[in-house]
Amino acid sequence: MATTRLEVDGLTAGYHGQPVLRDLSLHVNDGGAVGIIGPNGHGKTTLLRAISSLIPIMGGDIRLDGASIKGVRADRVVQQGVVHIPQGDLIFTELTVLKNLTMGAYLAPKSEIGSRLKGVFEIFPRLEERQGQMASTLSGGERRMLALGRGLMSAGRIMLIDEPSLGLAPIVVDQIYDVIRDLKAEGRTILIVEENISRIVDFADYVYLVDHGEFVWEGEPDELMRHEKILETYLGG
Amino acid sequence: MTAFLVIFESGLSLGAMYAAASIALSLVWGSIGMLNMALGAMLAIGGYASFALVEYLPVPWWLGFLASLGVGFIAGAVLYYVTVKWMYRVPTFDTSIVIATVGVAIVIENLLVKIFTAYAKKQPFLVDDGILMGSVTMRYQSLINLGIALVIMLILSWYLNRTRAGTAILAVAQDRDAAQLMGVPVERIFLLVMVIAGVIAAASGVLLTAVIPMSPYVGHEPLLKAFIICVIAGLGNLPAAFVASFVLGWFESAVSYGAGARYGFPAMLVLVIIVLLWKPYGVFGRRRVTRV
Amino acid sequence: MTIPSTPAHGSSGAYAAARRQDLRLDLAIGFALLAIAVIIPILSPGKYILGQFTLFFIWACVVTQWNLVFGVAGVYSLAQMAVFFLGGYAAAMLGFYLEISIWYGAWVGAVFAVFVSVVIGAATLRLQGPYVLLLTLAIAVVIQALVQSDVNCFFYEGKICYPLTGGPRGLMKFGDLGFRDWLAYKQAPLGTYYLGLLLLVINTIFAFVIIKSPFGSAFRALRDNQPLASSRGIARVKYQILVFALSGFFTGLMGSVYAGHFRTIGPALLDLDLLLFLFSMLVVGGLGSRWGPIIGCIIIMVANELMKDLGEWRMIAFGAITVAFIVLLREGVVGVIQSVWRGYIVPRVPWLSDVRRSGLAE
Repeated sequence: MATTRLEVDGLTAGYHGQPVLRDLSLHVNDGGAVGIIGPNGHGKTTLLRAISSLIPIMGGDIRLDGASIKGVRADRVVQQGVVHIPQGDLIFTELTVLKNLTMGAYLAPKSEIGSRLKGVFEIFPRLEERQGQMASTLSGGERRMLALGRGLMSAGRIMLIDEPSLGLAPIVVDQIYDVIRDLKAEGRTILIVEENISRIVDFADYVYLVDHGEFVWEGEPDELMRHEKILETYLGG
Repeated sequence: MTAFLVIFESGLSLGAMYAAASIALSLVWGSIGMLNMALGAMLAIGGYASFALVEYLPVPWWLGFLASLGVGFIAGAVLYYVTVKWMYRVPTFDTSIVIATVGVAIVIENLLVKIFTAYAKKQPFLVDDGILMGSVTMRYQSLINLGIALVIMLILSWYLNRTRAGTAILAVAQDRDAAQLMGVPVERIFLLVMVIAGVIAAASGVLLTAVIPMSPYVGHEPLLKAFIICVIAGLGNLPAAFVASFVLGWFESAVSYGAGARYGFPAMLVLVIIVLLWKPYGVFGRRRVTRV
Repeated sequence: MTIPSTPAHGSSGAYAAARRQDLRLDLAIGFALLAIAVIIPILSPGKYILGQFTLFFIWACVVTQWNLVFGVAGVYSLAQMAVFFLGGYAAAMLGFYLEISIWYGAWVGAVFAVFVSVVIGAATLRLQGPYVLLLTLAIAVVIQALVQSDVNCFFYEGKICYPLTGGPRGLMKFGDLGFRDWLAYKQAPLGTYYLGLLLLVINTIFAFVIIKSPFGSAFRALRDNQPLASSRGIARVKYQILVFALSGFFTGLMGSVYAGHFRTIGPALLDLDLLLFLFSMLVVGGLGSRWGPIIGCIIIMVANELMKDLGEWRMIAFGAITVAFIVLLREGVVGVIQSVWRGYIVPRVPWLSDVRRSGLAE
């Protein structure tokens, strides 16, 4: 039995006192990959934001390696090795690509930045070519690469990845998922949010299906693929 | 030719006077989203700190100037702990903070009246001489002010672009949430911005009171002018604020020279009103990203 | 299982009952305050106290109108005193130069104030929060600077030079409300007292109607969520112009009452200190609340009276109070009373909680 790295226990969270998520429980084992599947606007992003303490928890608890992170400041959660790779355009558009990447290693010792940069440039040679450019000049796919690369700079062990395929051309999506598969192979712990189950079915150990802020189904991804009725009801086929 | 020189000289000294204050205002706006109405009071604090130290302790003027920077540092930190720390999460922060800082400004200014009286004082950091250019005297003080403002601008640019903390300030300014996800402690960065602004404001206050008589309300007009400059430059755009200080200094001088001194300031206000109506985010400004 | 997008309301019957109860409560508070205000002069409190009450009526009206713009509609305008000043100044200029009675001039002043207010309202349409504050403050400052620096002689009276606007001293000798001619000398202050009271009653009723009407809901929707409100088809332009026009009318009218009462009006009305004084009423009372302006006005004016002899400490205290309220008690005194009322008193009083249990939003 693998050890539990991240545990969400009866979580209720939302904005301005209005809950978006109600009573969610999940856990991610060390080195495991767990997917959160569901249509847009049903609280998947809110869940990740709650885990990284960007929004306050209204009820329940979140534990990292057994210790509660309720009320802990967002930057402290990062210190504990959580890397949140946000959806879409949450990059620093008025900084260069290089500075975006070094910001990713904000908490790392200065001596490590060089080698980590090299590592990221190996995975995404495109970022090396564009390192002097303002991030605002990047294309959608490059921005996603930058967000992922910036997350890799921190060398955290628990990765929260928010909709990496959203709005990208299929070929870029494949490339990004190759990287995520490698991360899993490296032994990192992954919690990934995705709209499309088929993207993660081959590497996720377990998936939760979210609908209107609640988990309506959970189990092995293959099993979910066989439940045509569920797929049709919640994900439109 | 004389007219040109008069306008050039007085515009340059006005611009040098306002440049540092505008940078302080712009920095705080750009990184915290805070319109600091207490900046005028912070200018006065800087001026009085230098005055009090030189007057009541036997220290030379340059030490008074340096020590006033320390006082500005503390003033910035106090302002952070009294207002920003408790308010920055509130959805109406951008407007509430304006009111809070007006309140702080009133408190500071009246405390200064209590301590130093409302009578004008003379800033010890003062060079009276000047150099004759044709028929116009260029005051050394204006050149000193210009030089110090330039140095402040260069140091700040270097700090923001070349250091880890400076990059973190820029990152927080662009996207607070994303910066937090990198492990940047936002509150510490806000405190850092406030003390930097406090130091710049104190320096600016000393330079200012070397040119105009020092009273507790000495910061009112520079504050309003710094606003005008920052709106036209786009709040948060530091180099543009620096340049706009001089452009507006010359504009004010030209209007005063051509139409009479009473129209100088109103003309600037009318200019900012027009700019706001034409470009709601300033000439070089960009829309601040609104997050949901 | 869906997440409701708005808090659940009870049945519409309970909602209507709670509304009626709100109305009854408002009427009870209103009549109690009105009764006190009507009786005060009978106790012959002396000219000074009556004068302060008259001033209270004027400021309460101004703050009530300001609350509509700033608190209810959420347009952060600092030009309220500029509108007040221009309304009063227009009436005073008509009285001074054309010898038109202030009773007529006031209407011209009010219409002028509507015009100015609408222009300001239109100008701020495209701007966001802090830029609105800046623009409106700039307008107020430019008006003050222009009047204050107006020293060119427009005409001479004997050897004394008068600028067109009166310059820093402002205007005098433009007539008054005429109560001295109609009433006995000693009764004259009563005239302005009751006029002020009458106007405050009208102002308050008007403000309540606005807040409670569909307009009020639209304003609240605009204030709380602009993109959503616009997408729901609430035309911001229409409502913003309307609120500026309506509040401009009453504000301008009060400017004339001020001018008539004091028989002088000058650019000092646009001082930042006075603006903060009135603003602290708004903040202390509770931005956007119905009774906030009146309660805030009472608190601040009483505090002002108590601290009269404290010199600078008085302004220091006002600054500190404003900071304390904006940092710690953003809902103001009315907000605190409401939370105590809803959280503590209502649950313990059966006949109140029956109606309230359904959960009334407002």
